[in-house]
Amino acid sequence: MKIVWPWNRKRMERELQSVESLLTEAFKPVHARPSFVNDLRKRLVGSRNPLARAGLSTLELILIIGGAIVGVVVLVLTILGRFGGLVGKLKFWEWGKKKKAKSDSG
Amino acid sequence: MTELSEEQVLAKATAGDKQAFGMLYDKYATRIYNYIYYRTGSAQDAEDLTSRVFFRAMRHITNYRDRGVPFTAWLYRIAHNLVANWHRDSSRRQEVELEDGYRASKGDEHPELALMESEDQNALLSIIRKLPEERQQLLILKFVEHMSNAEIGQIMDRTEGAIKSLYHRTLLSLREEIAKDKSGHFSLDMFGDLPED
Repeated sequence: MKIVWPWNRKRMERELQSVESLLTEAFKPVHARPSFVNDLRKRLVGSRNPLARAGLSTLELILIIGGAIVGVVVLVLTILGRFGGLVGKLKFWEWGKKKKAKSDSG
Repeated sequence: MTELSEEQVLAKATAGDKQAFGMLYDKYATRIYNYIYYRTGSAQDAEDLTSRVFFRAMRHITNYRDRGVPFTAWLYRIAHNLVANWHRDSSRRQEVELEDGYRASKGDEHPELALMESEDQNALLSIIRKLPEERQQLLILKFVEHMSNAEIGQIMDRTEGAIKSLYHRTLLSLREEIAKDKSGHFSLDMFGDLPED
């Protein structure tokens, strides 16, 4: 163990501060290649989940997913209704045509 | 929108939630890469070891329990163990080559000045790499990660006082090595004559 004499202490402290300044200069942050960071993430957990990244709560997620399901069901029913209505109209039109033809022939 | 706290993310990740682990990865990937880069001196090895750290962490995260060791410390310990194995296994120990790193540059630096600075940094990093492993680890955690002595103590499994003392001894030995350096990167009269023993 080295002895630091009191008259050298101040100078030594100054020198250690210089070493610390050199260290601050030497250890600058480095950046990994963005492609490496993204690829590793994909290998670990797959692609980013935007909902999870947004930090949504379970209730919010349930509401969003429920809303989406209800929306899809309403859309499908509307399409089916329109389609059914169209088919019904066609049938009615054909039935009307037949009825007219019958009455004309009669 | 509710922002999850680190504790909540950690709880989800330890329960096996991959997206939560992804959030931890986003937070710590660059820090772990920095730590490994300065421990190995090579961007390629830093990438390889960073991958291994996170794959190992993902495999074992369900076993992680916060028993006074924060997640950061747990992660750095994995990194430290892998780097130690890497040093043991390889005879390909390299000098730090800053050219293959992706250093943050100030952008407005004059190229010649930047080159001189880079050479000085290389010279200092070469000296640092001759220090014992634990001292290198301490310096990186302090100067790259800007951790407190208490945080470093948690990672290195030592008391805050022990870290403070180790840091002081490390600075003293670096001062001696710099004074002895004949490469010309450090001015010889930077420290004058070292105090008598």
